Amino acid sequence: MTDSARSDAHAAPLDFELFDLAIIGAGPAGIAAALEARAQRLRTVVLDAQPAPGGSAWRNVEAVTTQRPQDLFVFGPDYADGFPIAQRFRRCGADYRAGASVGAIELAVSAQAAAPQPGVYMPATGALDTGPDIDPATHIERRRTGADRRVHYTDSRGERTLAARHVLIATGAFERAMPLPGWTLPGVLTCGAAHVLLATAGLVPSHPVAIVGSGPLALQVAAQLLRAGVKPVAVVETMPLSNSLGALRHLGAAVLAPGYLAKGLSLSGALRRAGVPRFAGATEVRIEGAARAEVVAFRHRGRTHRLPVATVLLHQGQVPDAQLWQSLKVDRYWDARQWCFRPDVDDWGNTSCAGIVVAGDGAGIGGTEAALCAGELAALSIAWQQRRIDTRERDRRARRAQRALRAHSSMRPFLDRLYLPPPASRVPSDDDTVVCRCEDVCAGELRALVAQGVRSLEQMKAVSRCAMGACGGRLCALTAAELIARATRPA
Amino acid sequence: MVTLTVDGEPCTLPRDASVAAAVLQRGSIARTSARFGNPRAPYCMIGVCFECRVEIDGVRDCLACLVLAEDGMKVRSQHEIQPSSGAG
Ligand code: FES
Repeated sequence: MTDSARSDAHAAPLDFELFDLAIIGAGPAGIAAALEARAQRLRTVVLDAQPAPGGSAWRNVEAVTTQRPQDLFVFGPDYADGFPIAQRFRRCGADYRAGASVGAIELAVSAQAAAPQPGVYMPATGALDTGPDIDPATHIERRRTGADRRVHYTDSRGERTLAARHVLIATGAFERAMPLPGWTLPGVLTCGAAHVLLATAGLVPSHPVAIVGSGPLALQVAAQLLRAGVKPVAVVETMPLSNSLGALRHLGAAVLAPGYLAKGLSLSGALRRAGVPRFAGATEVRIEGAARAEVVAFRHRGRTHRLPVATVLLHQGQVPDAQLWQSLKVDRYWDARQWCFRPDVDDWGNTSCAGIVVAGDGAGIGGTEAALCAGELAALSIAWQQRRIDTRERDRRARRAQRALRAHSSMRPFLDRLYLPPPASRVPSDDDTVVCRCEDVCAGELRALVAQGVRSLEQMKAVSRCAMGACGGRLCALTAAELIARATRPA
Repeated sequence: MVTLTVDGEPCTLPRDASVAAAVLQRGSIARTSARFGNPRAPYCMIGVCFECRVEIDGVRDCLACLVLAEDGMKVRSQHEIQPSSGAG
């Protein structure tokens, strides 16, 4: 295409708003990326499903800080850190759209593609300019290039589409499913849900409340509840004692990471001082009740315990929200340490799809601090790819974040090993336990299908509807895949 | 504060609360599951699990945890099938 053709086309009206960068998610990674992208003068839009910025870590931090500062102490010091960052984000000049749920990202659009095709996959060419985009109805070129990615999203005004030269997926993580017997009963929520309820609605769970599982967030939420005046009746810890032994050899690296061990110890101390019973290495956990959770039963040191409860909060770590990058079929790999799939990204978050970048917990669990660094690095790389800065400037500006990212990452092997969820709470041995909540598919049915010859998740989806429901398999695909793998390759 | 109704019962909660928070505060359920008719309530509160699907002002399948509670909203739980087949 000649230069004059380009400029002619450029003068034609655009069908979609066009941005240099569309960021999906306004948590730590998305916010940090927006700040750096704006510093490099990229035209930036940020789409976030929540009504206010902050992501899960800093849920509703602006309103809590300004409207009920007396509650801030409940959430701990790391939470309060989010306020100034959210304020800077509001002022950075990015076009921030709250309440926008992204349904699909579309890669390079061919001339034939008239209607949006969610999740269309085009092989990455590495080139940003992929040629003109012709409107099939009018045969008029719609934009200067067809290089941009389209983002289809829904907000209060309905379905909308925008275009961007780069898309940064910063959708974070969600809590790994914990398919215990009874986990679908009302009264059973995730620990993260308790945090959201406290931060947004000032609600605490109905008493008595038990926390079941393991991981930093489980302890954090237990401490939050204590500060909010609710004493959990128990923390039922499912991580086996062998985890601690396995984690020991990563302790050397962990002490280099700023603050983490001290935080963990202070949370444990708070629970001990409050007299919250902890049942470490509990097994055979089940939740019982007719229409609601009524009892948590488990074995601990050879004894069976049955605790009456009104609320059970589950947690066994987080997994990346893979939905968007998986729909684009970016290269991915299985991380046995984090027990999840991760996108195969370079040091800047670039995936195998040109123009698609992933940063933060959505690319692998690293925590808030690491996500801030990763978001900043991703934005620098995007600014560099779009020729806003040269290589020297990129590398110079990246040094601080790279160093901090290394420091924060040195904690991960220890945490990952310590909190690796045990096999028994990843795949239910009880046949009647629901694996797929959307379609009501139980573990026994899946095992029966494996016995009949089903050998892959794809086959399983087709015959059982497991992972075919509304949530897109986010809560059951890992469980179902592991169940199939175990049944077909007995250890 | 805002006031809405959940299955006809009034419910008052702070302005930043979601409809899912109202469902939980009422001790109500969001839906019954399609296959077995088992009761389900909001679980993740971040738009991942889809257990909080409710009817809001006549519109079905709203993700209650992503919708801010507003004055006068009429929220109803959803029942895909009659809870009769039981097992689960
Ligand atoms: S509670 Fe999980 S999607 Fe709303």
